[in-house]
Amino acid sequence: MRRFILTALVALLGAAAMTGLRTTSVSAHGEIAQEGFVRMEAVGWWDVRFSRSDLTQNDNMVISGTTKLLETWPSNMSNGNPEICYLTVVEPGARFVLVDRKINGMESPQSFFCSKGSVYNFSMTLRARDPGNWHVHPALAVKESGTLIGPGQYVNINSSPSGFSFPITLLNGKSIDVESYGTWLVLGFSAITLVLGMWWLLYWTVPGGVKRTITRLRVANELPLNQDGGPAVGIITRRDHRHMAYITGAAVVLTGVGFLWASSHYSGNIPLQVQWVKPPAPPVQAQLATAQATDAIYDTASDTLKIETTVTNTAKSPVTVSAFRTGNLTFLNPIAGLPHGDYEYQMKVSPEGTIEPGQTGKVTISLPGDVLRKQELLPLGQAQYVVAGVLELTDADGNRNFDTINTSLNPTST
Amino acid sequence: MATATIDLEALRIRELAERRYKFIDRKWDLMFWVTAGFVVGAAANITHLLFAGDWDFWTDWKDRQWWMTITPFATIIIPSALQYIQWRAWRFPTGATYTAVCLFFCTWIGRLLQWKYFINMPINFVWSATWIPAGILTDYVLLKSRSFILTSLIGSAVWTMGFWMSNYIMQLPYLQPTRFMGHTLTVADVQGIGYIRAQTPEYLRVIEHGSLRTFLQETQYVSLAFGTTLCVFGYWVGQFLGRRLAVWPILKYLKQY
Amino acid sequence: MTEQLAPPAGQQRAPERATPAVYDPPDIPGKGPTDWMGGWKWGIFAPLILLGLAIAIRVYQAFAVFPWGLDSSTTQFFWMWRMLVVAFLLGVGIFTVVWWRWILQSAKSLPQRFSRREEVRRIAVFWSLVGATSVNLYIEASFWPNQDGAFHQTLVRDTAFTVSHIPMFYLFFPLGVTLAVGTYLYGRTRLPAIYGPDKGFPWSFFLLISATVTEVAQVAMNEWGHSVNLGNAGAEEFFAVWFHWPFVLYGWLASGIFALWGETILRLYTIEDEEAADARDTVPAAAPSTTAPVRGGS
Repeated sequence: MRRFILTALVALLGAAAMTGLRTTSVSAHGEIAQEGFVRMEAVGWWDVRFSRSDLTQNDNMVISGTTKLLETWPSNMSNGNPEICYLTVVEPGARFVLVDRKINGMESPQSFFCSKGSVYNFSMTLRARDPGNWHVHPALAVKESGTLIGPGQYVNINSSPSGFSFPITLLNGKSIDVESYGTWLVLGFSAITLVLGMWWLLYWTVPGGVKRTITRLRVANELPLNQDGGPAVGIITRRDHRHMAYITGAAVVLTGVGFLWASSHYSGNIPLQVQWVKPPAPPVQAQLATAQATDAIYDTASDTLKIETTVTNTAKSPVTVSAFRTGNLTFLNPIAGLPHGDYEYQMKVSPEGTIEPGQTGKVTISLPGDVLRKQELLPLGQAQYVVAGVLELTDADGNRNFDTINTSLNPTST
Repeated sequence: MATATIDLEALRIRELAERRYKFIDRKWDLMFWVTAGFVVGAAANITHLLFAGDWDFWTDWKDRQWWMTITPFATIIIPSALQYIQWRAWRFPTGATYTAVCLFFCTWIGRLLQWKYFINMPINFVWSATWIPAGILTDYVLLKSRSFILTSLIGSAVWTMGFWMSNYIMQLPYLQPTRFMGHTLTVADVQGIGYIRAQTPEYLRVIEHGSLRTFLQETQYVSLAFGTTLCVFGYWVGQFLGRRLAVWPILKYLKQY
Repeated sequence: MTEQLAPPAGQQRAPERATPAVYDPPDIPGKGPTDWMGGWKWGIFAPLILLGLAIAIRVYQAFAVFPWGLDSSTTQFFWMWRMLVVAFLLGVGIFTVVWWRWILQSAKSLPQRFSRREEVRRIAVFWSLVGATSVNLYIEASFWPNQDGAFHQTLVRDTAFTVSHIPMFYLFFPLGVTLAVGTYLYGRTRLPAIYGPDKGFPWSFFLLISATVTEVAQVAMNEWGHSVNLGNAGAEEFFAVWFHWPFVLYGWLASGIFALWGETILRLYTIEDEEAADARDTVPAAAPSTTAPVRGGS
C-alpha cells in the first residue's frame, strides 16, 4: 500500500514537473476580440518598426514608431478623457525584458501623463530573454480603458550558452543580476518558516497518547471554551506550554534577528517609486492639407470598404493620399510604398493622382474587406457603426501629414 | 470539598481523554488533517487572492502603505475561523499555524506552476509572502490566553507585526535603490518595468504615492496600526465563519425546505 | 418534507414483518472498515484522481496555450479550447448522472440492517468523499485561480472562455456541485442515523452545497463584470476587484464541511459507546450488533 501511495505521489510530482515543459512558438494575441470601433477611434499607430526579427539571448531589439490618442477617442472610455497612459509590450509571457523606453525623446520608465489628440514618438529597447518564436506588439495602456494593441510581428530568440542575465548597478555600487537577485533569501527564509510551522503542527498531531485528534472532541465538549483543563486533565500539559514557548521563541528570534540583519545588510533602502512623466510635445509639422471623411460604405458584393474623403491641399506642392491606418493595420497606396511587416496591406485610391495646391478634391479609398473582417475591424453588430483612422498625406518632398478622420459606417450594398 | 469535586471531574475528563477506541484509530486523524488541509488552504488562498492578491503577486506592489494595511485583514479571516474550530474541537492552539502552512503550499504551488512556469516570470519577482511566523505567534497568544477576545486584540497586533517583520526581511533587497532609465528607482520597480505584464500597467499599482499628509516615515507605522485594527475586524469575520458556519450546523437540520 | 410526513423511526421498523438479518461486511485482511484498502480506499484514490486530472490539464496547457490558446478567433482555438468546454461539461454531466444514479439505485438493494462495523466503513467512505470534495475545492479555489491571475494580468483577455477559465469554471466548478451533492446522497442513503430523510435536510450540507452552486452562478456575474466598462473595474485586470468578491463570500459557505466531520465524529462516539456497552454487558453476541435501526434510504 505504501509503495502504491509512494508511486502515485511520485507520478503526480513527475506530472507536475512536466508543466514546466512548454512550446516555443505562439499565435497572435487576442486583439481581434477588442471591439473594432474602439480600436479604430481610440489610438493610431504609424511607422512601427522592429529593429530585428532574429536575436540571441541578451541581444537588444528596438521597437520604434508613433502612437496618437486620436481626436475621435470614444466617449465611453476613460470618460472620453484619457489622462494616464503606459506604453508597454504585449508578448506571450516574459520573453523579453524592457530595458529602455523613450517617449518623445524623454526617458519614461513608468506611466506618463497623456491627453486626447497628442502624438507620442516612442522607442522601446527589449533584451531577449527566453528562446522561441514570439509574437510581439507595442501597446498603449490607458487608465480606465485598458490596453490597446498596436501592430505585431514575430521575433525569434535563439538560446545562448551563457543563458540570460539582467545586470544593473545599485546606487551603492554593487552590480546585481535582477534575474536572480534575492532568490535564495526568499526561498531560504520561506523554507525555515515552513520548518517552524511543521514543527508546531507535528508536535500537536503526530505523537501518540493524548495527542490524538479525533477522540479529543469528546474531551473538548466537556470543557468550557476558555478552559483547557490544565495539568489535571492533561490534554495541554506544562511540557506542551514549554515546547510551544520554544517554537514561539524560535519564530521571534528568526523574525527579529532576520529583521535586524536585513535592515543592516540592505541599508539605504527607499520606498517603491512612482516616477510618472509628462513627455514634451513632438516638433509640430507644417500643415499640408486637411481631410474629412464624408461617408463609409461597406460593399458586400465586392467585399470592400470604401471611405469617401474630402482633401484640401493647403501647401505649396501637390499632395497624395499615401496611407490609411486604423486599429493595428496599415493600408498603403501602391504608389507610395510596398507593404512590409505582418500588419501592412495595400489599398486602392481613386482618383489615383495628386491634389494640387489650393485645390479640394474628393478621394475614395477602398480597403479589402477580408483583411478588415479577419481583424474584426468592420464594426458590424457592434455598439457604434463608425469607421475611423488616420489618413496619411504626403507632399512632393516627402513631408507627411496625419489627419484623423471618422464617419458613420453604411453597410449597404451598392 | 470543592477541590475534591473539581479533581474528580478532572479525573473523569482525563479518563475520557485516555480512553481507547475500537474503530477510531490514527488513520482518522491523518485523513482529517490531510484532507481538511486542502479546503483550508483553498479558503485562505482565495480570500487572500481576491481581497489582496495584487499586493502579493509582484514585488513592486509590496509597499509600506497598502500592502501592510490590506493583507493582514484579508489573511486573518480563515486562520481565525480555524483557531475557533480547532480550539473548540480539539483544544489545539493550531488554527493559525495550520492555515498558514496550508496557505504556504497553496501559494507556492501557484507561484511555481502558474507564475513561473506558465507565464515565465522569475520567482524573485513573484514570490509569495509567508504567514507562518505570524501564525505561530497568534496561536501562542490563544494557547496562553485561552480567550478569543484577547486573541482578537493581541493576536491581531501580533499577526500584523509578525507578517510585516517576517516579510520585510524578504522584501528589503528589492527596495535597494538604483538608477534605471535616468530615474532613481528600487530594484522592485525595475522588475515591474522589465518583466512586462501587459494587462497590469504600472499605473494600476495601488501603492504609496505620497501626499501632504503622508508624514514621511510615519506612514509605515500608521499603516501597521490601521492594519491591526482592520485585522481585529477580520478576526471576528473569521470567528463568525468558525462559529456559525462550521460548528453551529453540526447535527442541525432544516425540517421544511 | 415536513415532520408530519415523516413517520417516526419506530413505525418504520414495520414490526409485523420478520426482522431482516444484520449485514456485516466480510472480514478480509487488509480490507476492513478502517484499512487503507478497505474503507479508506476512495480517500486515497479520489483525491489522487482529481489532482491527476488537474495536472494532466496543466500539462496540456503547457503545450497548447501559446501556439493555439491566445487568440480566440482562430480555428485551432475553437477545436482545442472551445470544444474542451463542451467536452468538460458533457463529461461532468455524464459522470454526475451515472454516479448519482448509482448511489440512489444501489441503495435500494442495500441490506435493511447493518452492523456497527459496516456503519464505520460507510463513515470512512463518507470521509473519503468529503476529502475528495475538499481536494476539489482546493483545485477550484486555489490551483486555477492562481493561474487565472497569472494569465490575465499578463496576457490579453479576449473571450470569456480563456484557457485559464476553461478548466476552472467549466470542469472543476461543476464538479464541486457533483461531489458535494453526491456526498450528501451517499450520506442520505448509507448513513441514516445522521443524514436519513427523516432527519430533515442537514445545515452542514445546505451550506456546502450552497457554496458549490453559488460559485457556479457567480461565474456569470464575473464575466458580466469583465464585459462592462465601469472605470478600471471592468476594463483592466485588478484581481482584488469588487465583482470577484462574491467568489470569496460564497466560498466561505463551504465552512459547513467542518460540520460534516463534526457530526460524523459524534456518530462514531455513539457507535463506540454501544460497542463498549455490548462488550461490557454479557457474552459476545452471536450475531453482530446493530446500530442504525433501519436503513433510511430509498
